[in-house]
Amino acid sequence: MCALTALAAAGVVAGCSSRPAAEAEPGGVLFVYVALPASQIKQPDAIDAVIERLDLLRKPFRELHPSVRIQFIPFAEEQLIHQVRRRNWEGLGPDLLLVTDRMALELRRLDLSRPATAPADLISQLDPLAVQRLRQPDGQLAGLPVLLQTEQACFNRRLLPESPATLQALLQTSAGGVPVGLSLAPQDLAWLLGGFGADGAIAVASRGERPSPRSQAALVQMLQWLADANLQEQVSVFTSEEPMLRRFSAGELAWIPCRSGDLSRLRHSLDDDLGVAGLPRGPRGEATPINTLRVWAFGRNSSARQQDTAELWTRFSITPIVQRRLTLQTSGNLPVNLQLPVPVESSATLRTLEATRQQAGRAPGAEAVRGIDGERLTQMRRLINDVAFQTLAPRTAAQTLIDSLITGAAEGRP
Amino acid sequence: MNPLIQEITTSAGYFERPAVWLQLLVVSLPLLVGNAIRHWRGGPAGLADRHRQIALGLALLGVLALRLVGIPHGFSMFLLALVLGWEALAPLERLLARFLHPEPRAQLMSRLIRPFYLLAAGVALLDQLQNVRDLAQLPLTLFGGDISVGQLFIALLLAYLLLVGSGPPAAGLAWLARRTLGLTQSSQRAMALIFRYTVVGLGLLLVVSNLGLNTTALVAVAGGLSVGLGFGIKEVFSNFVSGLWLLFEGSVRPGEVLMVDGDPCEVRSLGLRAAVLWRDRDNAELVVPNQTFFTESTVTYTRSDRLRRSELSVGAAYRHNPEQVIPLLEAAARGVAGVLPDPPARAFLVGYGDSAINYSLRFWIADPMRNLSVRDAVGRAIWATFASHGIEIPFPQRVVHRPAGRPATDPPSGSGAGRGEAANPASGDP
Repeated sequence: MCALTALAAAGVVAGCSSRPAAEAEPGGVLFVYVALPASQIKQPDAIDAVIERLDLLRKPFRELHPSVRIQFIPFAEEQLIHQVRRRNWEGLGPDLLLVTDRMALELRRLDLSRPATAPADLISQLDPLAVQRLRQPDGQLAGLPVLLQTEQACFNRRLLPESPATLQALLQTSAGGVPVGLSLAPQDLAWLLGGFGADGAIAVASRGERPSPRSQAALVQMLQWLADANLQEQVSVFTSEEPMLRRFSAGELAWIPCRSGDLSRLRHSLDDDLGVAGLPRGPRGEATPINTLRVWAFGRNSSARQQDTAELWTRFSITPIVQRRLTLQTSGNLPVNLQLPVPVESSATLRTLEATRQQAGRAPGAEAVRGIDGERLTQMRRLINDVAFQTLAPRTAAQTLIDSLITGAAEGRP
Repeated sequence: MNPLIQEITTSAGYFERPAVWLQLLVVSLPLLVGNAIRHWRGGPAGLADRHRQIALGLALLGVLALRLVGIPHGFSMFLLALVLGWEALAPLERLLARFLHPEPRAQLMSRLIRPFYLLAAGVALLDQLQNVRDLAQLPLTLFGGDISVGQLFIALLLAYLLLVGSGPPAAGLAWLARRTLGLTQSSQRAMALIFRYTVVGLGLLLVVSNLGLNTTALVAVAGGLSVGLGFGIKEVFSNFVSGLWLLFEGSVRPGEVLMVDGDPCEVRSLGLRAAVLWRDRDNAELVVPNQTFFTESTVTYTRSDRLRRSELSVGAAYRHNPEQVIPLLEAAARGVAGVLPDPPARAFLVGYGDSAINYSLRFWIADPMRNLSVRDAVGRAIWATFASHGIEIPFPQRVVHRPAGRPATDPPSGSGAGRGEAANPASGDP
């Protein structure tokens, strides 16, 4: 009981002393939750790599504001909403969250975060597409974008000199004895839609409408390609991305689709053997990769001083000079502040990422796949697995998939 | 700064949030009020007895108020749950009282349940403010080895559990050994202690080896300690070694009865430093350093058996034939509960005194700790037997010869001969 009283007294003292400090110099502790895929949260090395990248921001910020302490707390993406809800209920919620754009919107929808604020002139410097993604119907921002991550092909130069430019070439390469990996997770296959012109079918069905027979045929063709690919001895399919990345890191696979957020760890394993290229185009069009935004979302429990410090920190992170430094020092992240151009001359990887950024966002169907979750996602995953392992005909799977999306749209959720 | 301390102090960041310290106040203030009520002299009758209920009720109201005004209140509920958990230990202790004797119950509560509750509460509180799993992974360097905070915590916890919790399993094993091998009770207790020390010793070795500490560094520390032992804590170490030796030798074991300063005392426990003896006379517990038994001679009645031969001296008037008195004495002893029939009680004529023929009645008892009470009973039985058979226990007598022609004067004070001079006591009225 004495300890509780002492804590309370300390709290009163800290609470009373925080206001004047807020007016003068930012200080105190900032609790920042960092959402990571479940596969990464189990790997201390992966977490260390993320914290190391964030330190590129923390260190210069602390040089400017030494009395501020920033604590990064990693959480699995799947657990984040639950954790934030519980911690907010306790008053011990985060001051900031580094999440994907989708999660930032979800946090706002559930009222677990507060709207993002930044000076209008700073927001005007940001990628309008990124800002638009985070804009809510009431005009407020669900978060402040900080970095953009893209989706492209990763290949091992030691096993494969060049990445195949087309899906047909990819299968031929594999038939020639080069091991290729594909993740069957729906979000990891969205890039395939564009190559077959099937993104339209998904986009239309997600709106609750029946796609044209031509679009449906494109979807069937894409699923058929997947089934054919799985027949190849050198094509390995994975139910999730993480085991595929591990095998690629170990040099057992020559080609995989990958996200730019994973480039650091892949380069750590493969060094100069790692090659990055655009995803292969299909018979009916370009690939439709998906860009992912990393976003600062603002917590609800912060003290006034913590709110001020959080805003200062987020503004600092999107200033042109910091964005440029982050882009150059981390491989796999593109700036969202377009005030300074992306230094594509400095690195072939950056050139590829920038090209992918331009390519992405053109296919609403692929974007729609990102929005699928819950029961619908489970069903989609099962359908793709059944097709890949030849237990379900592509035509039947395509029909079921479209019906499911239409039903989901009618129920108010994709 | 040490990363662990740095991580923990980071939690202070939460306490600048008004919602957090408000929650702390909501729980701690009612507890303070409850404490004040408890110590309020002159307050309404019965109020002090209900200070807990009042405090918890007020805290609950505070939490409800926070909820009503929309302030985060989960942390206050968590703190309240911790307090309630602590309060729940009292009924738990009452429940345990039905199954356990006071001493083991007190030990269980004070050494195991309460410390573990506090530990669990501390870890849970820390987990609210920090991610305990992250803290557990922080690296530490100890004796040249790299370990994590979590490993060290688990090792300390295991060591504590070994020291505190190894007693009951060791006792169970010793009980099994007694049943199987037919050991005596004192041997069972000694065996329990030996089992316990073995388990603790081996367990600690395992804990240290699992920590992966640098054994060279440990040897160096042990070398330093041995110098320290030689100068500083020689007595402690000497007592420890003596305790172990006594256990193996079996001369001083729990349950043994030893004579200490003329009083029979039962050995209650043989600890690392000292033995605890219970003295029946005044229900005192004596803490005697083990070294004492190791260096000084010890009288015990329980080394090879628990029999004790007791003795009572009594005098009978000269006019009674010893052939009549001796059987009466032996019969008196035989009739007393606690006196063993075999070996039989024996009475001896041990001398011709100034006032009486002196007899010694020797009899055997099974429990050396009951010597005084059995002797008392035998003494009473002799009085009753002598009274019923007209045997006189004479007062001391002194014959004073007065020269002829001198007047009689009072005897010198304190001579004790007054009554003897006056007359012999009536026969048959001892």
